[in-house]
Amino acid sequence: MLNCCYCEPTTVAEALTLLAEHGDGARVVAGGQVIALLLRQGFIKPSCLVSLQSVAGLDGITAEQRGVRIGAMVTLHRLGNAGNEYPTLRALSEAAHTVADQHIRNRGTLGGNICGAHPASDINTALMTLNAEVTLVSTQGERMVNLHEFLAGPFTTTAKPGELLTEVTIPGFALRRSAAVYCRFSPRAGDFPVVSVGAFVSLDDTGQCQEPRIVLGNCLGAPTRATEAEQRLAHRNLLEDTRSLTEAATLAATHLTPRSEPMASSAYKQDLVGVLTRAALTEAVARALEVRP
Amino acid sequence: MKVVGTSPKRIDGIEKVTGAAQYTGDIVLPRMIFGKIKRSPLAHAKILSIDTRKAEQVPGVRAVITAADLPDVRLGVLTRDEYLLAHDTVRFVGEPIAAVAADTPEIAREACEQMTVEYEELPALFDPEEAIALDPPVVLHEDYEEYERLIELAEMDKRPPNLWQAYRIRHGDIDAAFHTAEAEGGFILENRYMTGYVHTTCMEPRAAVAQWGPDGTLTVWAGGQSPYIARDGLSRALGLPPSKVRVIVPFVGGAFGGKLTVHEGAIAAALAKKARRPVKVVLTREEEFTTTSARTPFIFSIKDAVSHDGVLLGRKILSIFWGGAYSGEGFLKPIFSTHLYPGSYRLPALWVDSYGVYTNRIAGGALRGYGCAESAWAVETQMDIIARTCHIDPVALRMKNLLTEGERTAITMPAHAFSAHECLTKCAEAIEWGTPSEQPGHPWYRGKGIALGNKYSFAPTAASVDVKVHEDNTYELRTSAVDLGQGAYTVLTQIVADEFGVEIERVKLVTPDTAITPFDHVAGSSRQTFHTGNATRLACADATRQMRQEAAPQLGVDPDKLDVSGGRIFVKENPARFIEVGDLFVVEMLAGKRPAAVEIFGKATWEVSASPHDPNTGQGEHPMAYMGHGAQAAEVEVNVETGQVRVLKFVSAIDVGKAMNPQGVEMQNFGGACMGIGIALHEEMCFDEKGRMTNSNLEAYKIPTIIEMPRSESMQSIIVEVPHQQGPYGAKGAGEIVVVPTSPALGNAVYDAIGVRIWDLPLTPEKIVKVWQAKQREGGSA
Repeated sequence: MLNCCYCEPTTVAEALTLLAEHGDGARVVAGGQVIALLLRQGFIKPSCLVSLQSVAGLDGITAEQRGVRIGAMVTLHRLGNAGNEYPTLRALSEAAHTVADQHIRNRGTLGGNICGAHPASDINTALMTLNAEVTLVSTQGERMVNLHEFLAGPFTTTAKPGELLTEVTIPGFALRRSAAVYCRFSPRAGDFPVVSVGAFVSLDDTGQCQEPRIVLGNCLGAPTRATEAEQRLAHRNLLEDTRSLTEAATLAATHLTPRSEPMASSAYKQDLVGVLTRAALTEAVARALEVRP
Repeated sequence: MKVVGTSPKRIDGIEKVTGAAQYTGDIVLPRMIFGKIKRSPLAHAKILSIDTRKAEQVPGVRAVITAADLPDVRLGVLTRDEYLLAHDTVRFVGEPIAAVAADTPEIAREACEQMTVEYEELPALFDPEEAIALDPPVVLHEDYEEYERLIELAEMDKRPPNLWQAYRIRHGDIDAAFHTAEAEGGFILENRYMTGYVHTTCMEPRAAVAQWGPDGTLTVWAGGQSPYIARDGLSRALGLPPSKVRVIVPFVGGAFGGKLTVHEGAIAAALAKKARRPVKVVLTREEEFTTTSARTPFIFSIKDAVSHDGVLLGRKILSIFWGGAYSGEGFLKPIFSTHLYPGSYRLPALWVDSYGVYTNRIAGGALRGYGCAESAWAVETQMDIIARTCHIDPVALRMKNLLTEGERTAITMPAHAFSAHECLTKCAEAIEWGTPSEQPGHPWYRGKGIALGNKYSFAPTAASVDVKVHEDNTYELRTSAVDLGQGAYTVLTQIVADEFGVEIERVKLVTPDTAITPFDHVAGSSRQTFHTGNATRLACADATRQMRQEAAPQLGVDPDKLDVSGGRIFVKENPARFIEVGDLFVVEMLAGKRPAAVEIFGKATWEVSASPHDPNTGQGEHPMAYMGHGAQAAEVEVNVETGQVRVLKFVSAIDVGKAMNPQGVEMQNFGGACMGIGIALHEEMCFDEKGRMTNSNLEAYKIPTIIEMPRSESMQSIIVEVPHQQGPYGAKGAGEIVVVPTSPALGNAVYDAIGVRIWDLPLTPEKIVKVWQAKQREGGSA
């Protein structure tokens, strides 16, 4: 039986105090999309639920020199539209659009999706593709961590007891001809993807690919960079050497052994990684070229 | 006939959509508490001990029961092989062992967790083909021979120890058919098929509320398919005479075959007795998936003898029904699944062996079609392959082999109201059969598929209906036929309205309650419109006979010169001479007036017998009540890289004899198509090596959403009406035939698109990618 207290602080400071008091036993409730399921299935037994529902100031989206800062309480619905205003968020918007259904997107939040750390999270795979950083605050201070280091495994993060994720920063693109794309496959609408792939490419003036990123979702416990495939693309001229996209897709497919699940074996997921990587890269290059140099 | 054949609003529609309709879960009784069931975590184990002391000490716990609190009787419809709560052995993950009643469901769940059960794990058996061996690695029921059995199995030299059902069809000379095919330039085609492991997945989980009266009468509210089957089950499980058990059926949120028995009702009753308080038990979705009736797979081996020009010479089928730990609600599936084989095609020889076996899984049960949807997957895929083998169009091939009206089938019974030609023709027309699909280009491939199907309705069976005539020109229909969502209440109400010539609003419905409503067998086997419909007509006729008799002295003519309609009893030859219904009743008895009609109460029983059960040959003049026919066709689009299948267009042409409520039939067609698409393409219960279901929730078990369905303008419902001589107004049922041809229609369409077969359902993306890749390796191309 669930025996825990429920608090609705109104400021970040109050929330942090509650989190500090309850330490390991505290869990944050943002939109409830993830935590309600974890509670129902009995996967977590917190002693205190700290809701951010009434905390002001966590739902802003602002563009700054370092990049776009997005508050943890921004809903998936808003994220789904943010790409129109902030072009670097386009792939994230596309990912947010595919999560569950409209009702859930109205409730679910950016921060909740990140901290829920579901292995198939569309949001986390897209954010990693965009090289996102998260801001963690506690009564002890504040730190910024790359999302890659924040996600530790299935339903697990490296957040310390008492820390609250308040915002996410998406760095700006260094080169103008840059684009990110998010592709996913699920036979049924609204499901977590069987596999998803995020691809980021940026092309210099000659068409050479700089610092590509390929992120595979729902293959391992957390979104995973397909490093060999990325290396295959780095410094290649993608305008001339289009074969390297296919080669990178093949490398991505063999990069890891995905976890099997009911109705999707590891081998099938590898096939999907190949198909989706090729599609994501092809689209990313096309989009990058749409941007005037 | 004014209301029958039209589509008035569903009489339960407003209540349901406004939330006013009361389902079992909504029932709240004074002092009611909540029950939870303690279940086995192991697929096969001896129970060494059950320690309930800690559970009893949890504050708020009112009663804990184990098998020791129940009569020592085994349950089961035709083979009594199952205890309500396990005695010394558990045989599947989820088998009930004990139960707790407490002030809240949460406390009851906590108490179940506090219970200690010691097990000795036994080796488990999951593979039905291993299970059927004469010396299997595990025998599930060592005491099988001592069990009470109500049905005879086919004769065999030695029964495989895990076998609980055996049935045969023997017709013609099957060996001669194979010889002829080989000798005369024909061919033999042999394939193995398997259906999927799927669940009814009703919106409403099973639930029951039990309350004991001061005189020892038990009342159970349970949203099941048959109050009388439920009453008999409760009576047996609890050792009560049937008259001491009252079953009330509130609104039901879907059943599809999954709500025939009420084990949770019996558990609630036992808890209520011990706690001396009413008890409600509502299953969770996980319990629904893991412990209630699933459509477990069939494995079919079909060997056909075919002439060079596509005429069936003989068909030999071996089928194994993958039963679970108990014969359960699937007790008749190995028999009834064979009814499909002789139903559509002319078969000079038919040889069938059909078996049901025990394994350490959830008991196999009913799901819309009771074996025929499974048989159709094998037979109708096979028909497509035959057509392609002898280069005959699949529709033409079927037409060539169809039975004709009145022709004796391979099980003796003559084909009647045989509408397969019309269904097939109309279906083919609607899908533009013969016009190839436009191809969108790699990786998407399109194709069309068609399949035929038939669905028996079982016999013997019976339905009784009462109709009480009220003095205010209102007609009260009392029936134990349950509306599970299929529209039975509306259709029966339409019949009463027509029989009395009144508007539908003048009919009042009394819903199933064994204390009030008369016997009706079950809301299953597409039987309610047919049987309960007939009983309703007869009960109405009985009431109008009484009305005419009572009116005769007042009108001064013989009763047979009178007619009843629109609230009047009138002289046929001179309708201006009439009295009103109210005139039949004289209520002012205290004023000294003689009561004319005190009570006008029509009642009738409609019964259909069957020819004797012959498990060794399957032959019979009349082994079923009737047989319905239907065809479905699909156009699909397949992505060979991801394996995704999109259904672009879907057509159902279904014969219902007479569409009592055309919109209701249309909804059955669409609903059946949606359910059938889910079963064919998406749904699958998955298990780990310990026999535990690994996707027992609605996120992981893939019931499709509306987005996976064809667009509404691409879903077509065609109603075919070939009247049945015994059906009310000629009607047959529509509930199950609408999912029978669905899987093979889709499978044949997928083949048409990508040129590769998948033999086992469902047609998942992964399987599609796999067969496509295998084909590419072999050097083929679409």
